[in-house]
Amino acid sequence: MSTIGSGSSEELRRFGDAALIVECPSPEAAQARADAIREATLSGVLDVVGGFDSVVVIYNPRVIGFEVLAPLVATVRARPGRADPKTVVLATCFDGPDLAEVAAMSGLGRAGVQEALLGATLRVSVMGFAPGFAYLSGLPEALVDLPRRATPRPSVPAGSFALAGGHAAVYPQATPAGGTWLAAPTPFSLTLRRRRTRCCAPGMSSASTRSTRRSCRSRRPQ
Amino acid sequence: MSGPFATDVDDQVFEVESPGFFSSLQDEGRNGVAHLGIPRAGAADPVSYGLANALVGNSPGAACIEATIAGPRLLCHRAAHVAVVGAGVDVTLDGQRVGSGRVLPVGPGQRIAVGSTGLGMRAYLAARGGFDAPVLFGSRSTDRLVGLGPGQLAAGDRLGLAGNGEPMGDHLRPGSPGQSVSGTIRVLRALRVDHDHTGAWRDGLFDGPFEVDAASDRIGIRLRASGRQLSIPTDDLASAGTTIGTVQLPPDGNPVVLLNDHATSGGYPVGAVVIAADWGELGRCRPGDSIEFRRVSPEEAADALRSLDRHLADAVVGRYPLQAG
Repeated sequence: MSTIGSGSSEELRRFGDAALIVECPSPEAAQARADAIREATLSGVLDVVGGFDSVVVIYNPRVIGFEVLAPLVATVRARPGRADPKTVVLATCFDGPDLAEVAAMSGLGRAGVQEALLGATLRVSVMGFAPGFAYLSGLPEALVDLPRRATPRPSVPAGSFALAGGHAAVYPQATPAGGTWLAAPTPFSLTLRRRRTRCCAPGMSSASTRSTRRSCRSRRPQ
Repeated sequence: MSGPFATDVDDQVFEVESPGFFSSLQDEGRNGVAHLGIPRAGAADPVSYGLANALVGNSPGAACIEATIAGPRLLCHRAAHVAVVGAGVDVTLDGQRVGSGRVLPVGPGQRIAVGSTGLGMRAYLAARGGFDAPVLFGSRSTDRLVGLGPGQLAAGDRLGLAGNGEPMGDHLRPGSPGQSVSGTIRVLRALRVDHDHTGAWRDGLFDGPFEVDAASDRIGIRLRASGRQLSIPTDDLASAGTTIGTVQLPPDGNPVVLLNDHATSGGYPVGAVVIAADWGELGRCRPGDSIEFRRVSPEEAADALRSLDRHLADAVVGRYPLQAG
C-alpha cells in the first residue's frame, strides 16, 4: 500500500483510483488544507472535499495518477486561517418545537438556551450533507453533547435552525432531520439559504446568531 | 407539464410521449462543487453514455437521455439523428424493432422508443447536437439527491438540441465495452476504517456474491449479502468525502456502493472503492443481479482503464452518410 507521509500528523493514501485521502489532525486543519489544495488548481483534480479529520481529493485518473498527484498534494501547505473571516448575522426566532426539550436537557432553560446561542460566534466548520449545509462549530458547552432525535423528523422546512451531533446548522432545504429543531425559518434565513453558496464557505466564514426579537414577540402566542 | 427544456417552438425537436420508468438528461456531471455539498451527478454508466455520444458525433460531455429499466417514447418534430446504447436494450422506430448501437435517422412524425433496457439497468439515447437544458454548475444533469437540473422527464416535455454535431459514426463494433454485464466489480481496498477491525469484514466483502437490492438508485446500489453476515466495525467515524464507487458498510451489514448522485460526504466505514474502469458496470447493475467484488492492485486498475479506453477508441465503426443539401 502506497503511503506518502508529508509531516508528522498527515498522510496521503489511495482512495480508489480516482481519489486520494489526506488525514488531518482537526476539522480546522482539514478545511484549511482543503482550501489550499483547491486553490492550487492542480491538473486533473476535479473536487476537493474537506471532512472533519481528512481531505478527499477527487481526480480524473485519465489525466493524472496517484504517483504523480500525491507528491504535488503533499507540497501544498495550508495557509494560516483568514484574519478577517466574513461574519453573517443569522437572524433567528427561537420558537422551534424542540426548544423546550433542549432547554430541559441542557439545564439552561428556554431563556438560557437563547442567551447562550446569542452569545456564541459559530464558525463554518464543514460544508456537506446537502448543498449549502454548513456544520457550524463553536456551540456553548452545555449544548454540545445533546443527543440527536431518536427518530428523525421526516422533514423540517428550509431555513430551520437546529442542533445535532455537537454542531448547529441552518437547513438549506426542506429535508429529513435528526437534529433538534430550535427555530423556524425567518425571512432572513431563507434569504441566507438562497445566497448560501456565495456567503458561506468552509473555514472561511463565521456566523453568529442574533435574535429577531421583534418578530419573535409578534409570533409567539404568549 | 411542458418542462423546463425548450420553450421556443422552433427549438423543439422531440416531444416526450411517455417518459418510461425513470428517464433524465445526463452528461459528465458537475465538478468543483462537491465541497459545497453538490453531488457530481452525470451518466451512471459512462461507457454506454460515451459510446452513444460518439456514434452521433457529439463531443464528450453532450447531454443524453439516461433511461432506467424501461425507456421513453419520443415523438420527433424535426429531422434528427439519434443512437441508443445499452446492453441488450430494445429500440423501436414507429413500432418496428431497430438495432441499438447504431445511428438512426428520424423524421417529423416518427416515434423513437426505448423499451426494456435489457441486461443493464440503464441505456442512453443520444441525439446529434446533444439535448439542451439549462447549464447549472457546468452541467445539464439532473441530480436525484438534491434536485438540481431539469428533473425526471415527463409526458409533454419538449426537448431541443444544444448544437449541430460533427460527422457521425455508423455502428458499434460487436463486443464493444458496455454491451454485456459481467457481474464482477473490481475494487481497490480502502482505508477509512480502524485497522484493528478490518480483517473480518474485509474477508466478508470478498467472500462471495451479493444481490443487488430493488432499493438501488442513482444515489447508491444497495447490496444484500447472500446467505452470510458481514461483520461491520461499529466505530464512529468522522464524516469524510466520498466518491463514485465508494463501498460503504452500514451497521446492518449490507454494503452500499455509491453512484453519481451520492451525498458528497459520509461517515460509514468504507471497505473498498470501485476502480474507474468498472464504473460503467456499476451503472448497469440491476435489481436481482448477483455481483462479486474482486480486489485488484493499483497497477491492475491503471491497466484496466487503459484497456477500456483502447476498446472505446476502437468501438465506433464507419461513417454515417449524410445527404448534402
